[in-house]
Amino acid sequence: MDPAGIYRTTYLDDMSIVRTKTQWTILISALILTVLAPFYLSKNLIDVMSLSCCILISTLGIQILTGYAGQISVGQAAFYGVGAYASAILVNDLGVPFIFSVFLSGLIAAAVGSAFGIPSLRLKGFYLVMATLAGQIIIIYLVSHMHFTGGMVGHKANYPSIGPLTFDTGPRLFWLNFSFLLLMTLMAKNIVRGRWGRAFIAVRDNDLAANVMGINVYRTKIFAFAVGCFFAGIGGSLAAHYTGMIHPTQFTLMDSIWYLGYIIIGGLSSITGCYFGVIFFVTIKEILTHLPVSAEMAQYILPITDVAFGVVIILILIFDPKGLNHRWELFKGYYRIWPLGYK
Amino acid sequence: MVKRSYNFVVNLVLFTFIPLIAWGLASTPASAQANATGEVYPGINAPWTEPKNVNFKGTITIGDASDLTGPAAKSVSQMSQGLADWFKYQNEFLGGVKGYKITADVVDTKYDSQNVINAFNRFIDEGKVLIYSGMAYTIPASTEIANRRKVPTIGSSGSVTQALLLPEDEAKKDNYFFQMSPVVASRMAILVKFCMDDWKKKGKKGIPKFGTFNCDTQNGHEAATATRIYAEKLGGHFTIHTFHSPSITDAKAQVTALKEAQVDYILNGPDYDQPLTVFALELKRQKSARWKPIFAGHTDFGTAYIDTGNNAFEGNYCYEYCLDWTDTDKPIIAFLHEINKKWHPKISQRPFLYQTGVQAGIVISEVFKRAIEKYGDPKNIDGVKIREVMETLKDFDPLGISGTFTYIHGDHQGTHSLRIAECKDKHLVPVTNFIQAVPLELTERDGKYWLKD
Repeated sequence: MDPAGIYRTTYLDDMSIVRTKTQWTILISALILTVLAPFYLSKNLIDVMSLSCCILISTLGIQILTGYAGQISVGQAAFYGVGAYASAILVNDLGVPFIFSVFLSGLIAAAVGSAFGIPSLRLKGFYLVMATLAGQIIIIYLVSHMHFTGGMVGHKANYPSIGPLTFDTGPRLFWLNFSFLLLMTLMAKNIVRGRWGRAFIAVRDNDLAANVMGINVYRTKIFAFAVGCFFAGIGGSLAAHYTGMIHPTQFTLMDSIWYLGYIIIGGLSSITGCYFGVIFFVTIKEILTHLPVSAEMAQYILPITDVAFGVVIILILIFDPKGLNHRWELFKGYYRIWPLGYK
Repeated sequence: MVKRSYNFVVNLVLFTFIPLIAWGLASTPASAQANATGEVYPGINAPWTEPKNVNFKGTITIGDASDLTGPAAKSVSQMSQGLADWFKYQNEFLGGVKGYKITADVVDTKYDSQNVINAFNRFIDEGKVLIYSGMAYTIPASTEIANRRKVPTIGSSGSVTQALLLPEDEAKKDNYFFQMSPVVASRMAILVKFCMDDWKKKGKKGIPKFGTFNCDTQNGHEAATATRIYAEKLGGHFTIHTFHSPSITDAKAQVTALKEAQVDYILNGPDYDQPLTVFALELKRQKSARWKPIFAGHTDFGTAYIDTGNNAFEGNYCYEYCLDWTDTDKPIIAFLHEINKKWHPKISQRPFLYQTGVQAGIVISEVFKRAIEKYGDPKNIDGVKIREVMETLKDFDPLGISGTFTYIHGDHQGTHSLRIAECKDKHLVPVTNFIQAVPLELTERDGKYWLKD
């Protein structure tokens, strides 16, 4: 929704992502503040933000797949893992430059994801969940037991480097991951507001009607899996080089469920919602995990944090089931007419 | 006559007093040895004193990333508690470490890899120079972070890959991961040998059949491979491996497979108390007059036995690389009973991993003591210096709570011995002394060697 008095007179204008001068000012200020974050935020916060960028990229993928295309997947962590392993193997074992390996990893994850998306042609809802669950289990089993993935030992992933520049410090890794996040956000935004995005929404809302309208439902579903997993692969690739070591235990079913949690809490069918979901989860998790308690009391107090986490999630779902993005939209609607609002 | 008396005295000295003194020195309890070095530990090798009121010169804070929640929390959280108790004692009764208060910043990693990665990065970003990790399974990534960022981690893993450097890497690399127990392969070697001896002792004929029950993790696979290799090496007959996920609700498939293979000994490496309990119950259910296998495995099997008191565990064995809560005749364990009465009056029983937490506390305090002696103010000490100091530990006695600690550049196992205890009459009854592990061959120091199965 645009502020009152803003009119769009061309189609291009109407399609623009950033629509007002205020939005441009906020966006540029936010970008500058984020890029300069390593200079004023603690190293630890930068590290957390770095890893969150990778998670966010993967969340954008599941938002497209589940939020827009309506294909519920509980295998996103495994596809994230595919990207991570692909990149680690490409860079460390095959000597592929990092910049190519990131995109290749995305493509490999997309190919694997498409294969596991094939059941979506026949299955829906809970049945599709079961199919993607099988994907999660099979992928993790395979990477745990294959020689070239390092099996149970895991696989190393060197620091990423592009040309002479090696990203071997916290701030550098953050800048790299953040750049990719911006790029992937733009990509996601463009996909969902374009022809494919409209096809995803049509298939999600009523695949029969979509078919009647001339949308190839099968191709759309497979493409949704490919796109969703491509994003997971890119995120996984960045995470592998950020962490330095990958192991099957880093890509669990629980992580896949959290991905659904991020988009549900953030807001389904919203790219901004992904940001809200991930930032909310990571912030709460960090606060509750790092409560300043004495070593003696830690074992009694820290486990309670899980309960607190659960309570916060329940409260959000009760008071705003449409997610945090909806709350943000309400807030925007309010401040745009402040102080001359009417009832 | 004088000469005869002289000879008598000389012989008496040579053959009686000298052997007696040598024997006495060799068998001096750890506490007395510690006393001999001049260290006084109230409640252990000296009478209890009042807590000291010390004006500390500063605080040394290490990181403690432990699974206080999750499937492994029940036992793993005890490591954190043991560490915290030792630091409390160190600060209140020993005046800290060289006048500095020592404490741990605890993060609950919740059995979640992202938490582990964030916790490690956070500790290092905050300038901590040593991290204690009481984590169940998410170690490889954290070890890599420790190695990349050159901050030592001391943990309870057991993996060859983490504890040992390949001979060709020794000159090129430093390893920042320090273990507190023998590697899994060595543990299994001791268990297999124990079973072979048990077979002979019972006068059974033929060759004993071995099978395994392990968690589907790196350590579990190391244990499985090692069991097969050592069973074949020591003249046993290896039959079958079975694996399980970290938490299970039934072990029917595994026990049935072991029963079909008619195994005599079921061996198990690092595992958790929950699946081991489920396994013990299923094993009891499937045992028959014709099939009575012996289980010998991870220390958490014993912990689960003490916790549940279920007779399904009876007659089976577990290994221990530390003293047990019931070893009250040992000064360090009697001391732990005392401090628990003082500080945790509601707790009457501590699982095995509590002792390993105390063991880590003793070692970490010693490391900082040596580091401060060498470099002065803790502010001058970084992770590289701590690693170097840790590698100076040679036959360091952690007050008798376990075997001695030795870290050398290529071998970060710490202790190299363990003992075996039987689950009997609601107690863990040691059936061996601490057995020294045979060092691995050079070719066996490659982690992949132990991950073939």
